[in-house]
Formats: sequence, C-alpha cells, structure tokens
Amino acid sequence: MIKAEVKGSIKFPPLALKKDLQFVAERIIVPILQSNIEKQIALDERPLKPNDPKYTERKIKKGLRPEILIATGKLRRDFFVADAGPYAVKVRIHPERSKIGVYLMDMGKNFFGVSTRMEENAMTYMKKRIREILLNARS
Amino acid sequence: MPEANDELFKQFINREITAMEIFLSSKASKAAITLEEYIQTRLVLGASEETIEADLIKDLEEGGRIFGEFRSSVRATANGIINRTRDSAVFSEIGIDTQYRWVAVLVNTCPDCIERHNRVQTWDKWEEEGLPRTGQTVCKENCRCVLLPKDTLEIEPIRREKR
Repeated sequence: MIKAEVKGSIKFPPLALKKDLQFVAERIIVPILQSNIEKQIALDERPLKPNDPKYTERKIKKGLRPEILIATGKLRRDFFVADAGPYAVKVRIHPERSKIGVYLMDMGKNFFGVSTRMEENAMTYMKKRIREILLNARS
Repeated sequence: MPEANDELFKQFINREITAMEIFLSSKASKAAITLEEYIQTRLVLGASEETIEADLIKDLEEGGRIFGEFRSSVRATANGIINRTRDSAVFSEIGIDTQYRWVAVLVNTCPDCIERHNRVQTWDKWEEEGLPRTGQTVCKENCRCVLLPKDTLEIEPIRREKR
C-alpha cells in the first residue's frame, strides 16, 4: 500500500476575530480594570501608588471616599467598549475623563492597560473557543 | 532636572494624546473567514482534529500568521500602554505599508533610542526590531518614544537651555 502524505499548501484567508476581541474587551479587560481599582491594585497587581495624605484629608472633608482612584465611583463606571471598524474594538475611558486618566497614569497610578492576568485570561478563552468548535465539529 | 523632564513629558503627552484607549484589532481583510469556517475547511481537506488543534494552539501561543494580531492585541503592556495604543490606532487607520518614523523625546534618551531616532521603516520591520516599550531597548518599559507615520509631522528636537 502506498502512503501519500499531503502537505497543506492552501493559504487560508485571515480569521475574523472581532467577536472574540469584543468578548475579551467586555468580559475580561473591563471587569479586571474595574476590579483592580476596587481592590486598589495596579496593572502589575501591586498596590496602587498611594495618594498624598493631604489630598486624602481633603477628599474625606468633602465627603468623598478616601481610597485611591475612587471618589464618587465614576471612573470605574466610565470604562466602556467601543466599535473601531469592521475588525477592531477599543476599550476606552469616557472622553471627558481621559485627560485626567492620562494625568493619573503619568502620576504613577498605573491602572489602565492590558495586564498579565488579562492576557492569560484572553489566551485561556481563545484556547477554550478552539476546543469547543472542534468538539462541536466532532458531534 | 528630572522634574523638568517630567514636565516636558507631560506636555508631550498632552499634545499627542486625547483619549486613553486599548486598541484590540484582528487582521483587516474582507475575505476573512470565521474560526468555525477555518476548522470546517481543514476537516474537509482531511486534517485530523488533533492536528488542527495543535496547529491553532501553537499559532496562538507563538503569535503566528493566524492569531498574530490577536496575540499582539491582548499582550500585557503595563506602563507603555498609552503611547502604544495610540500607535496601534494610527496603524489600523493608515495601513500596513505606511512608513513609520521612530521619534524620541531626546531628553534622557537611551543609546538604543538615539540610534533609532528619525529612522523610517514599515510597522512590520519595527515589530521585528522591537516596538517602543516592548523591552527591546535599554530603557525597556520606561521608553518614551513613539512611532509616527513618516509624513504626519516633523518633530523638532527639544532644546534645553541653560538657566
């Protein structure tokens, strides 16, 4: 019997992964950004850079929450996922707060970005997706 | 002097950035197929499930041709997020053949970035060599350089004057 090995020479077009990116943005990145602030940790999972004690005093006097990056709770609610064309999505902060966001990042409050945990979760999600599709194809 | 540098950096950021964004993109193509279609097609062509799974997982982990852009999108960026996301956003709008210029702030710039400053090449080539803040330069994640489309604007070196 002759065994013939067929080597794949077909060049597949790129994959449409926007829905997966949307999932990653909505279900992984935004919730982790929010929970990091709630837990008072930065992207690298270390504690957020503390506020100046005088600033904390002023916040308390104004009746605001003393925690870092939390005053009224707006910042955490202002993360959202926006459409960025047929192949992309964006995780954004409400435009009105983006300038202060840049300032806060610059002041060492490293709260916005893609963390290692988000990366790991996104990879786990994608691997699970591949396995699920293969399982469905089998059945 | 570090305070002055920080001030310059803040001005630089304010001029260049209007929104904080994490840009997640997949490969742009009208002919793109879904993951389901890809798997179905390979099954029809006779590939085994194990082979397909191994190929896809390997491609995903190594950022290969299929998942390369997905992988880059979700890669942890930590400190460098602001400028890198802006780079990606510009990149997605302008396309893959555009030439990009490496622009250093030229204040406390590391030797690697000085060497790259003002050099122009495609995004792919920069990716191979190492994008700003990806750890390929001496300054690692502290890098303040940006990649700008070649023809977008000219940035004059920041001149420091003795006071």
